[in-house]
Amino acid sequence: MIVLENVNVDYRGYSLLKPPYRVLTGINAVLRPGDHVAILGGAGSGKTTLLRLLCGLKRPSSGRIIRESSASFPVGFGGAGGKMTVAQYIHFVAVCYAVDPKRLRDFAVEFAGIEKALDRRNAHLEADLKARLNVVLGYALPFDFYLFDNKVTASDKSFQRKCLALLEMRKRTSGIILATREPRLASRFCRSGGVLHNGRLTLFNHVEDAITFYNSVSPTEPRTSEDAYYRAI
Amino acid sequence: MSLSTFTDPRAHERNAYVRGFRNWSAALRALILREIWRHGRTKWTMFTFALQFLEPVGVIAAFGFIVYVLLRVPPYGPSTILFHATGIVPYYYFIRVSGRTRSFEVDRANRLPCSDSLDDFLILCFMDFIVMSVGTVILFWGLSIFVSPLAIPIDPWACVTSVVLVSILACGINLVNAAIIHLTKAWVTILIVLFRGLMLISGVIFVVDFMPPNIRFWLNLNPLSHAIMWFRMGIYPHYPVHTLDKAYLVWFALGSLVVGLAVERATRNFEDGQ
Repeated sequence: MIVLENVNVDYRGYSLLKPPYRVLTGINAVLRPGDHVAILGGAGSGKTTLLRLLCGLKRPSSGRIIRESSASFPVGFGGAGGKMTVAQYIHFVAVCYAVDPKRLRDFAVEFAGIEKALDRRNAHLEADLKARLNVVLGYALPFDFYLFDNKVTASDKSFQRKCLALLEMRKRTSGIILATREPRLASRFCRSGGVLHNGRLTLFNHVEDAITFYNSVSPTEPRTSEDAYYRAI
Repeated sequence: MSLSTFTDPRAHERNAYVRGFRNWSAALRALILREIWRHGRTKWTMFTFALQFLEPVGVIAAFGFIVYVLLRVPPYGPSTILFHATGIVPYYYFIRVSGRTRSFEVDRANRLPCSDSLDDFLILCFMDFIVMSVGTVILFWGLSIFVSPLAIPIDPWACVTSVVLVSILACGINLVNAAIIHLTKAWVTILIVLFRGLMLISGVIFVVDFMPPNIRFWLNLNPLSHAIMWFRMGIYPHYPVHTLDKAYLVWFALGSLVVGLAVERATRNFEDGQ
């Protein structure tokens, strides 16, 4: 279970004289294992910040987060390791999360087809290979909650199909939290939902209610390139 | 291969503190591995680690040569090389451990959630401390064979305490520097000049106690000069340490660490492009 109690997040600029900018205000939420929650919000509404709070990449400025369940890093998140080779990075992630490095490497090679890139530096990888690697590592590791920031897959159609199959498997045993501004994505993968608007999170038991509320407060259309992606999956 | 092959062995640990400690220790192990791999260009790990210690060795040799050519007499003791080595080593502990601010800043934006940015920082400092320690042992072992038998410390505890305190001091200053660099990148350039200048006012190339009283007063405000005196106390049996104030160094080191941690906490939520 992950509990957020009156969580506020402020961003300070580089100037000490300017007042901090409040991104999230008084967030209260209880996320139980097995919950499939969509967080809907427009650009700059604080979705990514909320995901970073949930997985522990960021600490709240005030308030409390009680994390009794494990949460993944946002699937597809780049992480560290620009100077490491792909094999070293996989080993690093495996040690971090107490998973057998060899098994994780075999899984990543088999699933993402990166065997030829194992000895190459992460920084020198093509964007497509890097995206495959980051997505597959996100799905492979065991977590109680899987977090997604706008995307659940990457790369070409066949890889996307495999990712969706993995996602369905993970959904059976774990919760997912999907931050998106695309209602179609939310309704496809989630049962309940929340809307981030003006820094505040409003939660709904049914994702349809969240979408209705989201459409009423944020009528903007998604960008064309992203729209194509959402349609494709 | 099925996803069910991956299970978290820590998931069923009931005690939250034990689970947290295991997570933390796993993250630290992974960060140490990452640092080793980053230093090494795959197969050249040990060589690149050794390269890190070549700069202080070069500085010791250069100072030794210059003083030998100009003065012919070492500032203290029988060997010019050994005297400068006893000053350069604590100074480079300070430079190396406090000089990783920039990479700490870079890592801050790219880390995985299993580790905190402070974990990254601790590991960076720890790895530099280990590299310097291994290099120092090899250096003094070599000096004892080729330069002077005095290079084997008569009081190793004094040498160890000195370099540990210097490293703690460097950690604190590193954290403060990281916060300042967050505000202005120009601080990196200023730091390079400041750190190089520090060598001239820390008693690396002279004996502080042999200086006139008014200069000695100002030199003694620098905690690094106390650390170098303490280090030399462990090497030379009768090194003059009348102005050595151990308590000053201890409190300065611990104080800088506390201030550094407080500054890190206060500036954690500054805008960092995340």
